[in-house]
Amino acid sequence: MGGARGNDGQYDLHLFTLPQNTAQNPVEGQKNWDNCMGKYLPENFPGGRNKPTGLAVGSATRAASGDTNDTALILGIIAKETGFSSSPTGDHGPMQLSGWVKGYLTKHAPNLILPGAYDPFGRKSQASRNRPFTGDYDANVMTGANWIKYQRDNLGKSDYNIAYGWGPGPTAEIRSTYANEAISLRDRYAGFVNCLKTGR
Amino acid sequence: MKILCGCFLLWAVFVPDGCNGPTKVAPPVQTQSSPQVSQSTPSTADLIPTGLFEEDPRALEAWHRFAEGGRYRIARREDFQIPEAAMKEHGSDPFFTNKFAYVGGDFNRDGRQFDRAFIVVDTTTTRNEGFGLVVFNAPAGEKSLPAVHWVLKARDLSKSVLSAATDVLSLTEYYESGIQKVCNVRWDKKREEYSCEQSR
Repeated sequence: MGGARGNDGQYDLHLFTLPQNTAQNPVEGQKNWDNCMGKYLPENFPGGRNKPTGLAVGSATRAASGDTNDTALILGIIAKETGFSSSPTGDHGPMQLSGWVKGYLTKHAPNLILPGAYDPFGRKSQASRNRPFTGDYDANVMTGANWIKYQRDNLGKSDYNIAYGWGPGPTAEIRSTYANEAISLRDRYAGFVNCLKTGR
Repeated sequence: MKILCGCFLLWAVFVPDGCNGPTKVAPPVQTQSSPQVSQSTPSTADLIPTGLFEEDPRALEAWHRFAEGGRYRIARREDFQIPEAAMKEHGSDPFFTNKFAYVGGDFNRDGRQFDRAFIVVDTTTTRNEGFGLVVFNAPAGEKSLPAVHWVLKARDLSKSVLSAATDVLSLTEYYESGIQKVCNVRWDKKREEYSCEQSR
């Protein structure tokens, strides 16, 4: 692919600071990104999926408050849902949040839905599903992260079960295959995410 | 070594294959929007994306059988002429910037990971309609090969982008006028074939 270099604005690269703030300038940030990508995700399609983009990694890192596991889990879900597209179609945004999730959170924890997480229109018709996401990328990822934390903290779900519920139905086989791959991607991305934080 | 490889490839391209019968091969004249057939020796990295067939030798074998000794290859970024405005708008989107036109997912919704979709180039023709869209469905058993399904064959896909959201495969054609046509690739379980459902 075009690689991280073409995809990553300086804004995102500033997130990935090395210890002792050695990566405060964008050149160092880019070097760190390239180094970690080369070390942990060197393939064209790691795990058969598109490579994470700076947009997605920056957003996931912020949404997970820097937690490696959660950042990697979010990236695993984004990889499966929308392949790190910056203008995803289908459901709402990079995490493909559904109307059902919106309804559930509105009822039980409305403050977890950030403004802009959803398009202002529904996505039931094929014409609307073909439209690129019109909301805010970060708000969508943050709301997805909130939904992950809510399920873990309030519903006692594991990462696997969270992914299982995220995946498309209708069969248990489809959902478990989805969950297995999401967890496998989480584990694959974790090294990369940790490297961005630590330089190793 | 390079010279030897180059000679062999030229021989492989221009000499009819004894097993498959004579093949008419047009001289590689380049037209504006035809797939660019490179005369130079392509390296494996230019033909097979890394990470795509890892831990899945059966899928690699299926690809080699499909490729018919080099007749088909995975389309690369330089084969396409996506209008500049669309590239500008989606410049950070992996589906636009990836080196190879490939997307993975569970496109037939059978719970088996994973199906691989490619835009391919027929290297024996320089016609604009030298592209195709194929999907390799993941096999049921570990010993079986993925089943290859043509979705589109002998088409001009030089302005098209392959993408997916929630495992729905889409092919979007971008026109200079700014119009786009989306085709959602659906699996017909009964007929065991994919079809392209056009929508705007």
